[in-house]
Amino acid sequence: MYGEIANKLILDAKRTQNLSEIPLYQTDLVKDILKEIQDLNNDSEYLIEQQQQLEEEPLTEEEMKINQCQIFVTQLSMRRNKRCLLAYERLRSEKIVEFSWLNVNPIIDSSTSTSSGSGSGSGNSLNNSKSKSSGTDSNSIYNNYTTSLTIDNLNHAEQDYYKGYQDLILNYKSKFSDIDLSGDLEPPTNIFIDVRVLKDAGEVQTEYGSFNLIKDSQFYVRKSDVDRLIQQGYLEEL
Amino acid sequence: MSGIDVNDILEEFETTSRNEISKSLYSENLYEELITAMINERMSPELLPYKKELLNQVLRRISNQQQDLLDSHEYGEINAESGVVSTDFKLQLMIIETDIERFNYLVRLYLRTRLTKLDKYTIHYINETVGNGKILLSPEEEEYIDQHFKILTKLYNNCFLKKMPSSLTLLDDTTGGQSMIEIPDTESHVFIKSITKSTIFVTLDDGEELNIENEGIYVVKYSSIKRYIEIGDIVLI
Repeated sequence: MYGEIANKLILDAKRTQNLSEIPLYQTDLVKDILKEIQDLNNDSEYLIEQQQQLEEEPLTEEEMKINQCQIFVTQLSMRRNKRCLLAYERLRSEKIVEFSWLNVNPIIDSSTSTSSGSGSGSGNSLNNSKSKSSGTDSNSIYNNYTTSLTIDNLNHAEQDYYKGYQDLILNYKSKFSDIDLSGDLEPPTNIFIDVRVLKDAGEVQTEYGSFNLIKDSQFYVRKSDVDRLIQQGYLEEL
Repeated sequence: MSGIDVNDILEEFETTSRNEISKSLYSENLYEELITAMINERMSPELLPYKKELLNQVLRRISNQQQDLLDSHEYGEINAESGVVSTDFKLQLMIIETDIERFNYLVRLYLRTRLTKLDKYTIHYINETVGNGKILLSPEEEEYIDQHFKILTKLYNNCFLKKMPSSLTLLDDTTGGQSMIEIPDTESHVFIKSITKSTIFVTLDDGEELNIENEGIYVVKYSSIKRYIEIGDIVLI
């Protein structure tokens, strides 16, 4: 039945809504839908042709009605398919936007992120731990929030879009140099907070001296200094 | 370090901190205004005009304070050994810093809320800004929305639109019974509070009149009180 493949795509999008990452692009589904649209378009062109041809030997009123109805339904199915595609892509682009504001590096190669579990200090494994920890943290606004992104899951155009959008917000942020626009959206309470280190990551320099990020150690630090580290999953606020 | 130098700096700091006090009277207003603007923006279903004056003032203040803070830190470091710096002084710095953080947060929320709305109703607001001369967006936001629309269109086109029959390639298609442009729902309900002394009369949909008293809290349709928000007689909560 027409529109069935599009339904699958929408189900995928619905599932995606509650994920903290962007799943693999459904290349095959999208291709199938595009093919269906093409087929439908051929159908409707044929039907219109038929209608015009038969004008010399006019159709009965009923045949006319049937023909028009067929055209109408094919057109509607095409439009519906298009809307489904747009909705799917829009959701993905929104998730890319969400992620772009987080200041977190994307996972570039999916194979390393699954193999390396130990804290090597590389960005890949850290992002993984963040997506896990965000699930348990019930207070965080980052629930249901896109907190990790695997570049390989995006198609080529989406990768371009991601790059373009990053440039865009970088440009926008540079106009407000005193404001940390991608900071936490929770109201600030204290300037100094207790944090626990979740991952080894070497030494960090702040205005108040430097400290070493060793797993499970705790620090009392200035919040604005470590905001980024919290977002990236190195630290956890206590 | 000679004694005169220290005194000079001390004096300078005192004058700046005195300025701080005289400024704070006026900054209380600034703070209130910013909160109102932020909450209005967050609660209203559509984009409100950009508060250019207010934002400029706030940004100027933040950068001044940051400079003050930097200077004071320098002063603190220079005098740390001589024992001139008291804990009071450190507390003062903490307070200034907290204040900056607070403003920083409000501005951040305000601007990000606006961007979220721009992202949601991109085509609508592009049409809107071209149509009339009202200053809805800041120049930065205008640039943002244009650029974002450009890369979004590119994304859609590259993904599938270019492979579709030409009759279906439009993004802002309004034919076929359903408009593809998402517009803000001004008929949605909002919580409001009146902050003007005089009573406001609003005609409701069913023809009845609602008297909005001073300090009263009501739930009404956004479209019916929109203009009072613009003049500031009503705030959203």
